[in-house]
Amino acid sequence: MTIETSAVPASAQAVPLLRVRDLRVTLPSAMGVAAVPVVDGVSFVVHRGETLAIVGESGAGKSITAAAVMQLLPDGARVTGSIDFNGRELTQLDERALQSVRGREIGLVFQDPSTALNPMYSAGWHVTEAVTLARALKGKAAKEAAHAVLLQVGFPSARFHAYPHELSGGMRQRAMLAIALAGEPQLLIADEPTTALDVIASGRIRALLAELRHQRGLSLWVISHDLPMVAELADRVVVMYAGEVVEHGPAHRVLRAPAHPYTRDLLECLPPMGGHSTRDHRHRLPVIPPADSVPSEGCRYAPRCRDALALCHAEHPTLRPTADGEARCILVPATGDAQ
Amino acid sequence: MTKPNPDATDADKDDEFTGVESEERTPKLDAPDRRRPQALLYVQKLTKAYPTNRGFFRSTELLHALNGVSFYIRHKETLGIVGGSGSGKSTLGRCILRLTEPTLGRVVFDGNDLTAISASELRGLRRRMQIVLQNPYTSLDPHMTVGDIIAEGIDIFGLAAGRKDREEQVAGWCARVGLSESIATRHPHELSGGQRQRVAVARALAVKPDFLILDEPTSALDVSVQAQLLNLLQDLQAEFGLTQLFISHDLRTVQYVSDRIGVMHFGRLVELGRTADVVARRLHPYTRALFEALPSLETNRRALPVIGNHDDANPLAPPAGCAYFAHCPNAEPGRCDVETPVLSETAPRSRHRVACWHPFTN
Repeated sequence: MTIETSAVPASAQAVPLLRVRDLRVTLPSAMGVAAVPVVDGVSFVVHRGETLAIVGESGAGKSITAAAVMQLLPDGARVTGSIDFNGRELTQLDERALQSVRGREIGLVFQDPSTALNPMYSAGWHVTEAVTLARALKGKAAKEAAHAVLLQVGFPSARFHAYPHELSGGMRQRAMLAIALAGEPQLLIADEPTTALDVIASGRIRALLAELRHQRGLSLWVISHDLPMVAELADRVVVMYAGEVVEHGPAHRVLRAPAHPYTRDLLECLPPMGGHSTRDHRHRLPVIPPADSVPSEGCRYAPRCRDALALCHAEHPTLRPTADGEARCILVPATGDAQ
Repeated sequence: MTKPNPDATDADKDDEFTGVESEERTPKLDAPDRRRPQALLYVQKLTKAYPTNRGFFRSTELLHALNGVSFYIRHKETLGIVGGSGSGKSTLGRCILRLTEPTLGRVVFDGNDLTAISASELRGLRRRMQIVLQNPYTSLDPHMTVGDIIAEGIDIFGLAAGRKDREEQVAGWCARVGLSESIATRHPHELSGGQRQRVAVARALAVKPDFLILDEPTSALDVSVQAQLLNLLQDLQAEFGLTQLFISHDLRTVQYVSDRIGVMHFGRLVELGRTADVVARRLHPYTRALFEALPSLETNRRALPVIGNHDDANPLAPPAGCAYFAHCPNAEPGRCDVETPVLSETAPRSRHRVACWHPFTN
């Protein structure tokens, strides 16, 4: 028994919903010294009805990118570039206009549902509050709407009045999803939506995300470091390293035949399935040398890359088109006619 | 340092007792068997029940975090314990070390019944049993330097001959786990997650233990850092002949590092066997659900499994019979919801055991 998650036909996908161009984010540093941009010239598109995943390790700039799109960065953060959502430039909107975009048009789910919910209030209260704010409903109507949203995410109505601590991780994440969906957004940004969950709860949340996307035509932008999870959920994958996009393409190709050495190395780090049993011939996982610092010249991955040439350390590679996406590596042959 | 103990039971005998109610299955500590190497650790019917007061009338109910868990771990073997949140995996690790006092059951470590010995005897054995915890951000004392953290056990057990020896040992451990020596004067907050976990490993190994419990040691780490730590743990196990209990919800990692796997559900061990057998056969419906929920790069699946709702199960009101009954595709009403299945051999003398009335037969 399975739920089909196969992608919407390519032709129907081509309408962009969110278009981020040359996004640069510089966070204020403690000493007032100009810091290196944590997001450095990132461009990508989320099409209507598709699932885009941004993957990478901690510090790659994935979550900062999402925070920048939602204009939720701390004071003093410098953002340049263009964020076009549904024909509107989000960087030009004032705080009031942004409030109506957040929650109502773009929903957001964070990694850790145990800290995102207020322990003083019940799950139902949170969702009712979200419905009240996003849809200007009141009283009984708001409560009914909250029940309806919770039903959609598979949250049992018997637990409407349960407090966050009384819920399992999976149930808390469902409550979070209900809050994010309360305003009936077109785009859902899910930052590590399954990382805090065990494998079964994670599987059910993944199935739910796929179902929501299928039934409501929701566009999904998933941020994760979990490559197998992404392989299952996403249509397209953007791989980030040190604030830059290093590879982009269809999920099935990027995660099975990666073009960029970093994507390849990350995939090889996953313990292979099959059950190891011979103690004398222990398999060893390939080692990516630790990242001490990001070089100011050349390819940012070069110090850790086993294929790096002298040129890689000297010249910063550009993101070049490939047959079905893009890659930032001089070792990957570029094609002129992609896109 | 592991002296042979004439009083230990043998691994083969242990196969016979399976954490059930029958008393005659208790192993005899005075029945040595020379055919097989003895196991280092025996866990017998280990149970941890927490009393809980709920509701207006304050009726006390028992929450069984651990419910009659039995297994053994042979010398130099890695037993993996996998299960969802709330399955009792971490309680198991804590009860073995008596960091949490078990309600019932025995833990026999190298012939010593840990649940029956005095506090001072236990303290002596503590050196030989160490634990590495999941979260390197909270398990290291932020006020101590890395050097003092690593040397903590060395100091407690008096394993250093003078200050110079202590410093040399710390430097040696830093080098052995892949940290630069200069890190010894730093504090945990100055380190990355991977470095902190290396410190936790060095601290555990500095007292030269025989047995190491790893409770989600890599779960908080990035993929590339996780790979390095798994390699390091494998090297250290081979070098020091460590016996390990590797607890994780991450099936992919557990099946990679373990010689045998135990699957836990609702405080019980529901399947136990050699890793290759468990991975290939997945006899218990819960084990199968775990594997099916695991996203896979290999199969290029574009369809998600429909997994029964496990989220709303209430540990305070466990159903009669098998706790997996409500979610199980093979459930037989009238039996599975009445009689609790016992971990038993799948075939005569088989080392692959399952607690299920209707396991998958492939």
